[in-house]
Amino acid sequence: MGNFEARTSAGPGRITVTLAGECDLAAREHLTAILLDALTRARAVFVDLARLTFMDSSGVHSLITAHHAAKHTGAHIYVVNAAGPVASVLELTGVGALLRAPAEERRHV
Amino acid sequence: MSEPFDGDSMTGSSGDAAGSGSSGGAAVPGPFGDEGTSGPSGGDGMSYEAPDDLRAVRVFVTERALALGMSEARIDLLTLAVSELTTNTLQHTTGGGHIRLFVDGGRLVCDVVDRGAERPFGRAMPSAEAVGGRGLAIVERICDDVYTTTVPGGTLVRICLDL
Repeated sequence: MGNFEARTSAGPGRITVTLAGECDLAAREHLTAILLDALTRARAVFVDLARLTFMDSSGVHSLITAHHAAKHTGAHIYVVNAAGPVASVLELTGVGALLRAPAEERRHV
Repeated sequence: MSEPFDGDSMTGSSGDAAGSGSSGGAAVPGPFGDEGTSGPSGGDGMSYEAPDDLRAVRVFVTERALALGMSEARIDLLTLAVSELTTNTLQHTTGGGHIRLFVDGGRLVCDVVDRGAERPFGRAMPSAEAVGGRGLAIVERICDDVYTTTVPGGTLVRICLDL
């Protein structure tokens, strides 16, 4: 197994999913399941990427799958705190802009 | 590039040209025939066949690229590109694949060989809303050159990043 980890914490009206380690194909289904589950419990899901050291298109696949599920129910999924190579992937694919949290929301994370 | 001792190889030379003699210990075991047209032989390759191998692939690529003189910022891009290509193997082909890294003409070259078909490079990055289809587009954006060609038993994808 890889070193990928996902932890979920609930706040008022929102769930934060904190990722750590490396997110690749081996972690994809796990991440998708966690994000979809979070979306059944809150209308705003924040994915904190600060401790994620690697992500490729497999992780983007999970985020966009969750994004479409959220749109279906009027919920939202946002990514926050991406850095380094993870931020590069989000920028390269345009997904960072698509899932950017509104400014007033980012302050609470 | 001067090449320091290469810990996992019996022969230390993986620079250009030098040491092309058959001094033994150079055979790379792997599922695919070595077309032998370019690049040195030696402990510069690795096979993969399952998603849980991808992390080891990135570790291998990082260590090799460091030894070959690439900067850490460039290595981040290289490992992303290799991760995309090896993921592509696992999702669209059977039988896994094999990678090799070497330096040629001031560039770091990584060959990825698997049993798949030639890859459809040249496509635009999918929209941000698209669920998938980004892997090869990411590779093309990152690398200075990308080639694909059929080889005996499968397909070779060669990516090049300036050192």
